[in-house]
Amino acid sequence: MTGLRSYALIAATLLGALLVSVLPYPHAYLLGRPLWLPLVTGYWCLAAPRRMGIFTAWTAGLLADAALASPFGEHALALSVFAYMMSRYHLRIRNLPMGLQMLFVGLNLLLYEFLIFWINGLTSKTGPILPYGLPVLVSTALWPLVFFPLRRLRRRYRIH
Amino acid sequence: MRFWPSRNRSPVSLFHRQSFLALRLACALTASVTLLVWSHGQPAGSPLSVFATRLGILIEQPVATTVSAIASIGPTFTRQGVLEQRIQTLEHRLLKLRARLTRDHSLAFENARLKALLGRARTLKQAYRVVHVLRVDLNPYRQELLVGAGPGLRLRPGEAVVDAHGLVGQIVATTAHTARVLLITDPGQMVPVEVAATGLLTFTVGTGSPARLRLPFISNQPTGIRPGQLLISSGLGGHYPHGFPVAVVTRVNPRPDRSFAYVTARPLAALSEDRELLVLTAPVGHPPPGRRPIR
Repeated sequence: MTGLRSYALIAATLLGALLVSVLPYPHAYLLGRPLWLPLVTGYWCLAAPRRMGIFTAWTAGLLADAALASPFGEHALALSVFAYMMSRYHLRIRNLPMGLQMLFVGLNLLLYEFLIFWINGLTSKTGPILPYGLPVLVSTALWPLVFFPLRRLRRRYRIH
Repeated sequence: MRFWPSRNRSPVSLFHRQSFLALRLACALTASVTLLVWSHGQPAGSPLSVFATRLGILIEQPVATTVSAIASIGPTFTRQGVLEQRIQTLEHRLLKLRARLTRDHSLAFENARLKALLGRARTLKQAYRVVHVLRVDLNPYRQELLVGAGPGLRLRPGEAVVDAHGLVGQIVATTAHTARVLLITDPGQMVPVEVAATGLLTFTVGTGSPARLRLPFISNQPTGIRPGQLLISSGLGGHYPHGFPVAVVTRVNPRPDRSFAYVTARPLAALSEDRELLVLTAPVGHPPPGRRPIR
């Protein structure tokens, strides 16, 4: 598949993840809201590191900041760190069995959420840290549900 | 290391594949930190925050409109009988409220006379504008609503928003057709209130839960504050008008080991269920638009 179309497909999945995360939800759901954007970003960093890198992640994070009205640059920072970790070790993570892969993704998501908690605190939105933990667990559990469908998509359209 | 493509070789990108990963991260981090520092010190009406708001609403408005369109499919296909029944109930309620209003008119006259006697000329006369809720966002670290408003309504940042039961929050950003309302339960939001029964002045802080507010600075000594008491907005600071119900005190636990007692309250406004809200026009002497909301 040509480069441009691969980029378009990756951008479409990222946008989809963003739109899903701004849907209106009941309060109970939001306590454990899955971090769709980092999950999808993480997959593309693993599977197509030449197409999806830190700058794409940064841009996606900035759009998330705008859509979620968080401090401008917050999700951009956290997501670029997350993308760095996934790109840096993509060859190793790819060869891990699913369980260990989930563990690695989970630890990085913990870092992601901690960065967001930290910046929220610095910009005077202090609150308890506990609500930041549940989305990490939920998202880690959802990693295979993001991984396998996206892999099917990638194989079908031959994105490398 | 080569940065620019030469004419006789294949082009090499500035960031060669997989290399300079740390450099790229450093660039991204610098850019984010710059943006964060820059936007943090900016007032609500600055170009950067307006840009961020416009971009955000561009993303979330299609989602919000689609969802509310899907949600309105149900009411569109309703039987006539059900609708007639509903109109009848609403008319009955209107009649009851009208009757109560006429009684309140006489009370208002009496009140005005008493106030004049006391030398207080403050009145609660306000103009309301109705807006409808597009999106409710009740994150633990962000409690916000997106409301839709016609261009004629001229909403401005800093204006207070109420519903039928109590204070909801204030407008923090506006575009042509929408506005963002920061709720009183947002962790960054404080509301100056007074205890209606005793006149004790204090303020509430949001907790990130739509059902709870905290009153952080209530002394351990007896202050007369008790569960069940009504908190009304005190009007201090000029952001919220005086006299709107805000919350009901739910818990008062003195903590001898700390400087202040643990006091919580339940907001009166139905924050997660409201579909229509009222925006109050800013009273005279209100801070001009573009000033930072209370943080």
